[in-house]
Amino acid sequence: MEITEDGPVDPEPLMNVSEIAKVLEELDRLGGELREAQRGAVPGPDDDEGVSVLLGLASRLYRLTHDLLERPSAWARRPPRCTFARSSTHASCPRG
Amino acid sequence: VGAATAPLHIRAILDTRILSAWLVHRNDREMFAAYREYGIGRLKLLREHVLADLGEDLDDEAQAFVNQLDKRVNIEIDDLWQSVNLGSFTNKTMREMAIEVGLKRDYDLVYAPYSSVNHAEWPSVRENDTLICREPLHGGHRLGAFMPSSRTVGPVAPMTAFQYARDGIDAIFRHLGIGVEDNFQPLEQALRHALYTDADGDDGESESA
Repeated sequence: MEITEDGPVDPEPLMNVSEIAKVLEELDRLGGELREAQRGAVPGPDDDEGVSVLLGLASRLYRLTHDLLERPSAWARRPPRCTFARSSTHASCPRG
Repeated sequence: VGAATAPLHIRAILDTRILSAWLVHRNDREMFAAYREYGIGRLKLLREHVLADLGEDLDDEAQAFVNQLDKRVNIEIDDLWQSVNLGSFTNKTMREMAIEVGLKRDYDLVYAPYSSVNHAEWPSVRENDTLICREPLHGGHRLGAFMPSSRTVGPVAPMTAFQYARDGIDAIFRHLGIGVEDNFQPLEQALRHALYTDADGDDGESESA
């Protein structure tokens, strides 16, 4: 990712674009290292039953985490809202 | 727990964390085979449901879809030899599997409440999808919020996901005789810097002179 201008990530100024770009860069680097490291675990075809399953599950852990980390909007906390504003209550509440 | 979106991701991550830890713990060739056969059987069942739903006169698009599904069902073993198991590939519940591998606390405090979010249980719906009417004479009844998820984000979800992924992947690779724990350090450092360092570069942990 080429960064031409830095600033807060939408929607909240939790972090800067350069910082999330660094996270994504490290995620991709880790993925490459894990792809390479797994070569040491691949056995012959007769012993593949469990290894394929486990490497697939490890990859799933990586992918699901990647999916979450690249979408800061999915890190939402509980919404800080409890009630309708009085003005809108009278307009929308079916009890009148 | 009341967050709207992160539980959908993190429950799936913890699901995989518990399942993989349990398979490593058992380290049973027959259990790995049962896991694969169970999933393939479910896919075979889906194909039967699709065929029943489509009927006999398939147009080109439907036929192409069925052909693609056929390939997925038969890619490892001919469906003639596949059984369909409507239960699970093991007799264990996810909770029992978590207990067996020392992840009971994670099950109780993360998996169970996040499952309630995924399953639309009332507390989750109440907190994310309803608002209380402020009219005092209305007795505090609730109405649908019809609003998007909160836009207030925090560091808990990404760090939780990262830790489960790191622990799960490391455990799997260790089982296979490969150490990858150190490979996670640069990512953890970048993540902590992004999540916990303020605009002045203060990480909130350094002592002042």
